[in-house]
Amino acid sequence: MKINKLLTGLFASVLLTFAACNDDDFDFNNQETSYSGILIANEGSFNKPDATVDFLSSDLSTSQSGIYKTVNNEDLGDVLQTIGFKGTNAFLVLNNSNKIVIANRFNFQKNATVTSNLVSPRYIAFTDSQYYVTNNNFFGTYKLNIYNNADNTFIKSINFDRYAEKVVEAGGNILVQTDGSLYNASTGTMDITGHTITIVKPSTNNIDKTITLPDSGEIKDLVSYEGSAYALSSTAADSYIYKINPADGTFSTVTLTGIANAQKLRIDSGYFYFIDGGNKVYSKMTATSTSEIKTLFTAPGYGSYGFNIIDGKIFVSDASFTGESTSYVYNASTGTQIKSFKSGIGTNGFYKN
Amino acid sequence: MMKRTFAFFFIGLIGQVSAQESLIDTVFIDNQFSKVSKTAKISNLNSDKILENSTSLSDLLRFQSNIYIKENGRGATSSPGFRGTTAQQTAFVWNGININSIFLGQGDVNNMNPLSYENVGIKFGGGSVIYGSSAIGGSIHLNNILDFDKGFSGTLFSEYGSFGTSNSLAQAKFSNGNFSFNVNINHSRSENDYEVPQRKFINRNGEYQNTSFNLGLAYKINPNNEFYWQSQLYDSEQHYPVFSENQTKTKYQVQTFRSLAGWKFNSKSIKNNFKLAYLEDNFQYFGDINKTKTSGGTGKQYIIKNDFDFLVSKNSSFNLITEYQYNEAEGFGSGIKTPKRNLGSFSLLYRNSQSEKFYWELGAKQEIVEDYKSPFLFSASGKYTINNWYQTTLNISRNFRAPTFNDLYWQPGGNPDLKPETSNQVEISHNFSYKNFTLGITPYYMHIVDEIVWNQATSTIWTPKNISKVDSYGLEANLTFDKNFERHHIFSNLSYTYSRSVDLETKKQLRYVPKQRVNFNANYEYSFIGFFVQAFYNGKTYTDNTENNFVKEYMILNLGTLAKISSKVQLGFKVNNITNQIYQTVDYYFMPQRNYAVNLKLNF
Repeated sequence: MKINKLLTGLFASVLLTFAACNDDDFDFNNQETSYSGILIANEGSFNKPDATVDFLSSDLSTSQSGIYKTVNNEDLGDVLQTIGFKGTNAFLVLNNSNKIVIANRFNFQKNATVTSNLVSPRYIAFTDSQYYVTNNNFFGTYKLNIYNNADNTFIKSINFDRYAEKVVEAGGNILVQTDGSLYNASTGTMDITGHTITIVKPSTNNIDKTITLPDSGEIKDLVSYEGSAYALSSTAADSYIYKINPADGTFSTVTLTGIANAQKLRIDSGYFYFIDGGNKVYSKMTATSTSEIKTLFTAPGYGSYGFNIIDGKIFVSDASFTGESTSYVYNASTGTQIKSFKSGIGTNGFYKN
Repeated sequence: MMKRTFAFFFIGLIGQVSAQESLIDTVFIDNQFSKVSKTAKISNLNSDKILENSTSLSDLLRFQSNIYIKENGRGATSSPGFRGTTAQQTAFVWNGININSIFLGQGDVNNMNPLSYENVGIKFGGGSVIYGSSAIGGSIHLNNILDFDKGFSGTLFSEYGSFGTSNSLAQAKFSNGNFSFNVNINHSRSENDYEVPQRKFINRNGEYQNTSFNLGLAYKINPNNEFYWQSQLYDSEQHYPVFSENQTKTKYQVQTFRSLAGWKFNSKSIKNNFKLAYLEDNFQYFGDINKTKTSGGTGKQYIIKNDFDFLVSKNSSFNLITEYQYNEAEGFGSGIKTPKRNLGSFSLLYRNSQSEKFYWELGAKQEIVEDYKSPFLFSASGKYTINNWYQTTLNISRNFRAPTFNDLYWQPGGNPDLKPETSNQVEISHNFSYKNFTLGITPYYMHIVDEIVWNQATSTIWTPKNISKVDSYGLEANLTFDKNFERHHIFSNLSYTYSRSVDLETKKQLRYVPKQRVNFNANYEYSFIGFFVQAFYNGKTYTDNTENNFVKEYMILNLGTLAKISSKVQLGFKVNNITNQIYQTVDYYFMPQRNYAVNLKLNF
């Protein structure tokens, strides 16, 4: 199934939420329950409502699988694409169920389900009053849905010509990955659709600017970090990180010479972390574009379906869609493995909670 | 409606429900079927048994054999697991021709309506020497019959069931001494909107319908020469169930055309059967029922087959089967462009029945294919009749499952370097008979190498490789009781299966292989009225390869009754899943709870 080309979770909104959370002085340890630590998203197998969320404590010592079903006594849904966080809520985006389940992020009790105008929802980003959800069925529907935060009502959709994938909030604006690659049914190849990132202004909810990245590669990731957006684009020879100013769409380029087909980008404590096509994980300082690229480790198995950096540790998953996946934890500075553990079907994301 | 039908049963009824048909008198188009029956374990379901489960081939096999049927909800995508093997290791054989999809390598069980056939044969164990790729766990034979000197007969059958289900059949047959004609039209449809309230399950978007048209003709020019022609046209649309109201609804359409024509020549020492066959499969998948198709394909197979049987003496024969096939396909939305392949095969068998007590045969086959290297296949079988209450058979064979067009050419990901899966296997049957009882005990063992498994190669691309090694072994036991006395007739069959299929790397049971299964079928007839019971127990069945998730064990019970109002009119009533069991054959896809069907059958 082509849906299995699903990528990892939205990291930027998580970071952002954390920035927001810190301002709003939430005390994570003072919540009634319990799921403060790390949440693991397991998308499940396609066409079955077997997506699950696992919990892992911050010190990696205790875990609990399938917490949504445990709390709510119902199946979560079909293909958990990503989890976004806003305030005390977790937004569980269920791609093949065409729904977003909103649950309390700490006790995981369901508060609401959003289905209005959703067609294969992918990723989610938040401003104070609205949230933005990309919809992409890789078959004609490429749009950004906008909802009211207060009551989850649908506000409008913005349609794009070719793609609508990652979405992040940076510096008060919304940035959408509006190009990627699509399956060409007549040639059987994945064809690059273009190289654009689109800025949407939350004040008007209209397109403000379309940025065209200058390389010939495929846009693979888009994250937000300290008020800027960062796009990852890669070719079979080199890869590129673009630091985008969300206010005016200008960008600067970091070329990752010799890094082929980089597929995922995360930023943590002043370092880029990325994976190449051969599942090698690298780090590089964000500050200077000439800083060395450090090879940390090679992710085990068929790939790193889920990838994130939490509290100085790198989490990767070797996803299985027929049974349990295996997840691994590494020291982010040395690349040494700390732990491996079993997670649910199709583990695709790790989130700090 | 239901009440009125019930009342019918108590109106004066006469007649006798027909007993089990004798296989020996049956003229199958597949001339090898009776030969392989000598040593292979075969169970035959005739028209009456087929009509007991007229809804689908899935239901028929689930309730009347020990094959595990994985069904994504009633009537939806369905595949078999025979002796713990995969769906690609079971061959579906239409009148002697292997009809597994050249794209998927498996049979789409719910797109083969059993109402099209007068016999569904279930052959256990390997059979690639005769039936080709995928005949590893066993083969399912869909047989039409073209016989002579039977005059005219017609059947109209119509069944209405719960969830807006109807299954209808019209069949007319005519034969005299040199001409035979058989036409069969059937149509099945269902709204299929059943609910399992205890699990908050609604079979949303589960509707399906299909129509088949079958025509057979045979003409004997003289006692030595006969021409025959059998064709099938099939059209279906299945919607695929979705789990929530808001999910995008999908559907699948299939159009099939199959035709085979042949010439049988018989003389004292030579029996030759020359056939031409054409198989065409068209299918389209709609990722959104309201939009254009998202993927699909067309597969065409042109087959020339000659079956030359030379009788060296009265009791021994050489049988040379030569076959040439040209396959071509066109994919849509799969990156499969227009693959083509030529393949040829030679099978040689020697059969010997010189000794009254000991029958034996040896077979060998080599296939030559453009795309991959096919293994040398063999079979050795013997049947030893020790005394009048005990006989034993031994079957040893090597069988294979060819890589499919999807395996080889799917883009991206297809792997043109695949080898076929190969299975070396053995089974020994012990058959005892005492008075009205027969007991069969069959342990079997298969060692399957180079099993083709699709795995993730990169974050976006999946690719198949010959990686798995599997040992499948188990035990089948059958006890039957068959008795006629006065106007009573009782037939019952109790079977027990223990099956293990172990991935030799992980040492775990393969998914969707229940370790234990029990089937019980009983028919009782008295004069004009008959009853039947179908029950099966399915043990705990893992749904993943790590033995973590499973569907729980369950027992399902169906009860039916039928009554002959006159020699021409028969009424039937059936309650399926009478105990209202909640069950799944594939996890998350619940099957229907208690449901009903009434039917009317007219014979003329």
